[in-house]
Amino acid sequence: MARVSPVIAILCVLARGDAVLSRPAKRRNTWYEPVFTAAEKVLASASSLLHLQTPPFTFHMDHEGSREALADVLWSSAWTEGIASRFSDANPALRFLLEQQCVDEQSVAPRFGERQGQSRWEAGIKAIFRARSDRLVPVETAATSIMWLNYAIPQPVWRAASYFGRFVMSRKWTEELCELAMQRDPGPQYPVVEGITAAVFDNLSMQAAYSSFSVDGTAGTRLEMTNWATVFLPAATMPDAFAGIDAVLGSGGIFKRLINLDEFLDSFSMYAADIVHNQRARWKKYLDLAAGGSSIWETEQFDSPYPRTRFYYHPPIFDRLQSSYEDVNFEINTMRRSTFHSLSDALMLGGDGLSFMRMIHRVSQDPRLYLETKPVVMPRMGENPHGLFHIMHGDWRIWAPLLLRLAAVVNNRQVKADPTIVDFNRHQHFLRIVTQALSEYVAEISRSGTTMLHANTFCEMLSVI
Amino acid sequence: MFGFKYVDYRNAVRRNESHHLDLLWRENLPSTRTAKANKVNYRQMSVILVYWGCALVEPLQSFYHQTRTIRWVHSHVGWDMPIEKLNMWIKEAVISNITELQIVRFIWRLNFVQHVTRAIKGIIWSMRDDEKHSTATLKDIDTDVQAIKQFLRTHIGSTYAVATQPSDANVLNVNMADWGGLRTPRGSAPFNQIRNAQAGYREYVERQLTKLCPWQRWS
Repeated sequence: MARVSPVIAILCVLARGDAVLSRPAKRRNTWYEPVFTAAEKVLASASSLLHLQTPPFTFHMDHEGSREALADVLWSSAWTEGIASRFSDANPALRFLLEQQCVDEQSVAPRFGERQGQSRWEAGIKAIFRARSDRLVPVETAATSIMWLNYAIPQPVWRAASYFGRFVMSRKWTEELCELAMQRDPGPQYPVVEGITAAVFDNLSMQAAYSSFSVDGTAGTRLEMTNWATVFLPAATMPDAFAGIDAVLGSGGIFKRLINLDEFLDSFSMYAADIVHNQRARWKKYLDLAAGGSSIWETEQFDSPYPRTRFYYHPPIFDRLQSSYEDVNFEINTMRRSTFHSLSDALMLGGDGLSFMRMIHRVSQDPRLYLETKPVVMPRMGENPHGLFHIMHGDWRIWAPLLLRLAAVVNNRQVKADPTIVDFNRHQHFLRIVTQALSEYVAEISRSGTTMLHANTFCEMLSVI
Repeated sequence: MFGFKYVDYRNAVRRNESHHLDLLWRENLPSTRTAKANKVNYRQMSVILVYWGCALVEPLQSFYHQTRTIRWVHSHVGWDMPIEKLNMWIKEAVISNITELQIVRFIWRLNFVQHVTRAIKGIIWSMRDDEKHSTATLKDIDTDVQAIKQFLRTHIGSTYAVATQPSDANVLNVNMADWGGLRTPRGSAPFNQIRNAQAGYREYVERQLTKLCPWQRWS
């Protein structure tokens, strides 16, 4: 190839009639022009084959600042757009050549289309770049390596893949890139609320060294911790009228001065107008869906008006759970004093039911500390998965005899009378089956009687007994 | 049919419908107060949750409602989801030689690696249509649904007239021990349990407010 290439290069130059060796012809005879143009094309393509073009988002690790640039690109979302064919598009001659090749006994090369929105030759051309130098790192190679680190891909698999495929970097290289990237964290890519910050926390217990051969005489240990993260709330969630917590505290605190007690209490009546109205509306909505043969649980497309929330996960608070007020005090203080929240006017703290329970008790016990000292603490309850599970759990316990009977009908042995949150998915799935079946049954029998919209009649009748 | 309330709640979380969530917690109070459900903590919390939603001054209250749930990928999740996910990721990734240092290092990197992983998934999923992209495909349940419907047709009736015949017979052969036995079936039926639990709700709510929101003045 090394001996042939200068010849091809010269031929290319000659064929194109470049200024160095000859002048371009003033006039051409039309009868031989198509032949000459084809030759021209072949030679021009041959020339292109000898000069690969590096597309954007490809980094040479020997170049100064390229590692930092790679980390910055990975933090941004810019690289995810238009990478499907960039190696192929930057090297069209090579792509053309690959498309003309025949395999084994083929006499004509087949036509090649895209594959899953990506150029079919993208991985091949990228591999040529990687084969030339391990120091040349396309952004997707780096990203895939980081993904492997995230999923803790075992070291033998990693080594084999990087030996045979070269589509991932080494684990050590990836770890170093992560360390560098974490120092260059640009923060959320959207404007955040000013003055009010937010954090979430929950505890975790892990068994360590329980099955280790090196443990002699002990049965391992239990690691207990409370994990927490900062939540960057988007500025779009805050009304324009907000002038800061100081203004709120200065005008009497964060709560309304007077609330009508009777109105508040009445709103919890099971006959409250808005509750009954909503019950009737959803009865109609879901039965209409069932009668029309649709799934009641099918979720409608919803695109939030807010950007995807960015979180910052902090090192755990070890040896603290939420089983005592002492632990919860410690955790709240840790979060309030962290550099992320210490200068904040108010701190929204969210977690599961237990976290919320502890917080509302602490706030009621010491309102001066939590409601009148900055950052003011505002407890937030976790609605999903915990709230969702407990909404189901209470009614599940009440309806358990019927649910277990119906589980026996479909031979479902996983369903329990009193599930825990660990069993949530299995029980939610069975609830979906039961809700759909009962709804379709009500819709079916109503066709031979009265309108199915008489919710009370049906509920009473279908209370089994 | 508490299934409808459950689906209603699930959708309200996804769509960040804060006032609707408050309404559902209010509706849920009688269920939590039944002897069978016995949701001691959640019935207390539901009162305080609704209180915070209506007691904050504006514009703090609007902000509170608009951040009732947190946007995850497309739709919203509860404030408890991020750490639940974190705990799950730790358990999945830190599986051998577990030490505090290893967990700290994993979490430190997670801020970056999760961001990159999400970007890769976004590229790979970009060829899927929106519906598949945003929601998981539901498992087919038709066989079980048909089996239950057939069971109901056989034991309750397949016409309106038959199905709504007044009867105290245990036609589905349900274990009645938890519903008051066969002697007093009506009184302990689920609807009656919830209705009975409604008694004294005003006193209950007021007691929680006095205990957990002592700063509030009421008119």
